Amino acid sequence: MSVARVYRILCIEDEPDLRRDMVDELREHGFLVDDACNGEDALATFLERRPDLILCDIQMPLMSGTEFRARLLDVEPGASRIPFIFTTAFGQPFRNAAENEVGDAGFMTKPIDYDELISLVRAKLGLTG
Amino acid sequence: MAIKSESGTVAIATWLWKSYLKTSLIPLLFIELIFILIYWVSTTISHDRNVGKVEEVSGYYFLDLATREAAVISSLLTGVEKATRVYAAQTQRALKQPDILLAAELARLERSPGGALYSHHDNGMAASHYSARPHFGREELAKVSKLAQVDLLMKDIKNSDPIISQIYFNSHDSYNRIYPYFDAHEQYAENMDVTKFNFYYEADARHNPERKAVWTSAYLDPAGKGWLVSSIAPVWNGDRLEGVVGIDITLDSIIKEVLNLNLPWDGYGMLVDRDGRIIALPPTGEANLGLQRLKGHRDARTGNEDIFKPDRFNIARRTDTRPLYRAIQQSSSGLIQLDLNGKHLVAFANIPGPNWRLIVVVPRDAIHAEANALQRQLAAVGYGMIIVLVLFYAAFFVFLFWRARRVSRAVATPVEELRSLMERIGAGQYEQTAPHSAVMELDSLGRDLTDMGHKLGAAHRAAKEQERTVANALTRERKAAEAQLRFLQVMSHEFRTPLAIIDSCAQTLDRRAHSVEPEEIETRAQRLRRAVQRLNDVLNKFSALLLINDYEARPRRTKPIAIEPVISGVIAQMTARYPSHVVTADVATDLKVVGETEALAGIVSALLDNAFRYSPPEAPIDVSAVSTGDTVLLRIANTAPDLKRYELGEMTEPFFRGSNAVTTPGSGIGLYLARTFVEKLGGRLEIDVDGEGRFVASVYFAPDHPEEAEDT
Repeated sequence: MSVARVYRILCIEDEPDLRRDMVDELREHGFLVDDACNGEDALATFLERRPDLILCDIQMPLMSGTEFRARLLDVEPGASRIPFIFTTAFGQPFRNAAENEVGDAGFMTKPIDYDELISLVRAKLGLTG
Repeated sequence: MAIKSESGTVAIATWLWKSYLKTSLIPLLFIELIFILIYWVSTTISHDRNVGKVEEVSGYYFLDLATREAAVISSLLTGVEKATRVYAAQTQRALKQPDILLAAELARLERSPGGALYSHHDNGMAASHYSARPHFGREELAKVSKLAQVDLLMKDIKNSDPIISQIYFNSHDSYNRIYPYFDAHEQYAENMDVTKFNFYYEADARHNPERKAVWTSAYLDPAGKGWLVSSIAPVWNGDRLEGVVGIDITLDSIIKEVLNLNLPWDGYGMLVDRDGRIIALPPTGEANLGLQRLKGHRDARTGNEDIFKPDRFNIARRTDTRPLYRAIQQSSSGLIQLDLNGKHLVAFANIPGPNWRLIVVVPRDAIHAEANALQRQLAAVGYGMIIVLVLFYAAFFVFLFWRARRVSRAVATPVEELRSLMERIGAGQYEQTAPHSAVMELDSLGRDLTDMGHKLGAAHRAAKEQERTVANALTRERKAAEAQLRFLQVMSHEFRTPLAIIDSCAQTLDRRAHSVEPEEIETRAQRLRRAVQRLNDVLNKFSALLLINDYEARPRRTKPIAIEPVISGVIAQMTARYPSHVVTADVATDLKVVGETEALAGIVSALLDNAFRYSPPEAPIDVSAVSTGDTVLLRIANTAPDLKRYELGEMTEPFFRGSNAVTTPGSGIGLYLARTFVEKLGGRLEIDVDGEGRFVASVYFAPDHPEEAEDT
């Protein structure tokens, strides 16, 4: 499968095994993927290579996923136009709380079905077909 | 003293004061005023009655006195009047004798240069004086001789009564024969016409048709004997008035009689003649009437007119005494009131003969003096009563005012204390002491209020206790809910994360089944095993958590347990799982703690698992166990990056995970399990951060008293 334009995705996940699988899966679908194990690394990566979409775990060391987003908007207000997809191992009630906090983001609960992930990523990027 | 407030309330002192005024003072004062009024009215009536009675009695008394005194004077005058009549009869008899000429008598006569014939020396008989005429014939000389025969009678009459001044005969042709002897030529005018004098004409036919003895008005004696009054009687020879005999009496004795009247109440006597002329008047009366005593006299015989007192000495001519004169004219005796420089009571009585009036004048004020004095004394007593009453009531008012203030204080002070007491109780200070009050009701109220305060306090404490219980229950419920929430989070995270890894491996293997290399299969198999191990660890923790409830339910089987083998075994397990961690252990082999092996293993395992799990690789983990007197202290210290000191208090709560631990797989129940087991064994767990920032867990095991531990 090929895309007309190559989109860059920043994948932030503190579980290395899971992060690695997610990066591999996204790359297999033709995305350029940068990865980070926590919010600090992610900010540095973002400033180095601005992504088109950010895939971010909520429960992370140093700062949570929602805290990272708030920091990012402080540093780069224009990042509000970048779509966010949050992943979480918490159950639905805790996901609802995060959705209330960041209402325009996409959410996925672990374990992640990669087909659903790719579909959501494409949808957020406005890709069809 | 308060005063009615805007709200219509009034202070106790003011209320008491008004109450005193209304209920006692005003009625008492009213009654006292009534008594004083009655006293004044009764004393006034008594005074008026006394005055009236005294005036009535004194009136009778003075009238009687005047009557009696008039009778005394009348008796004096009556004798003179009788003597006058005897003398007149003897004179008439002498004149009717045939003419004689007494040589001895005639030898005493001498003719004056003016033509008067007079006796020139005293032979112990009467003096003789014939007014001047051209010739004295036989008839005149015979008259002298015949009248000389009466001289002895004249002498006897004169000597019979000391008030008789002189006795005389005056003929119609101005012959005067008078005893005692005096130098008539020296005294009389040579051509004196005796018929012009009152002591002659008042006895003539015109003035005395009844030819009786009459009294003249008082007059100043021409011969210088002072004020006289004469009893005169005509001497008739048929129808011819030969002359008039007279006996002069000096008024001094009568006046003295009047003046010496001893009258009470500053009264004085007064004698007036029938024409109202004042004959006798004491100095008191003179002062009363504004008169000055007439003194001295002049020789009336040198003139032809009588000398009488001036009009101001006549009560008929004076305005102030005219009512008295009218009363005298209307009645021979009586009693009137007269204003003579003040009210006077005047009694008068007639003196027959000269028809004089003896008048007794007494000032009414003097009569009333005693009554007035008594009234003044009673008035003084009345004023004294009023003053005493005023002073008494003033003092009584002051006393009642002071009493009202004191009573009000006695009531207001405990009331204020009660109010303050209620305020304190209302403010939550329920345990109060009842203020003592002398007022039984207030004292009882104070005790009731303090009892109420005790009950309120007890109720408040019970409510507070209940509130605390509810709050504790709510806190426990909230913590339980939070723990449950954390449990769910932990459960979700700790299960979903390894499941996500497992699922990811499964999806990858599924998608790449045809192209997966053996190395990748091996790698993913290891991932799958780690994930499964995490799941197993989580389940073990939850099993341990459940073990606590079981531990609560079953009987204790505590015993001294050597701690070193337990610690060594756990360290061996942990180092196998975390081979990169460095552990230093300093545990005495003979240390024992009282407890159960499972619980002790659970404590050491939970604490070392926590240390290995959150300590970075290569960072040392220090384990030590020492004896501290009768207890054993197990201390485990490890490096803990980003440890938040403020989270220490919650770290032993179930399912709590520190913010620095969220990336590390864990259930959040390890420290909770350790604390719970330690407490079950009677010890305590303390967690802290040491000076190097390392996490330190300290377990103080219970003292080594197995028999006691068995009981717990």
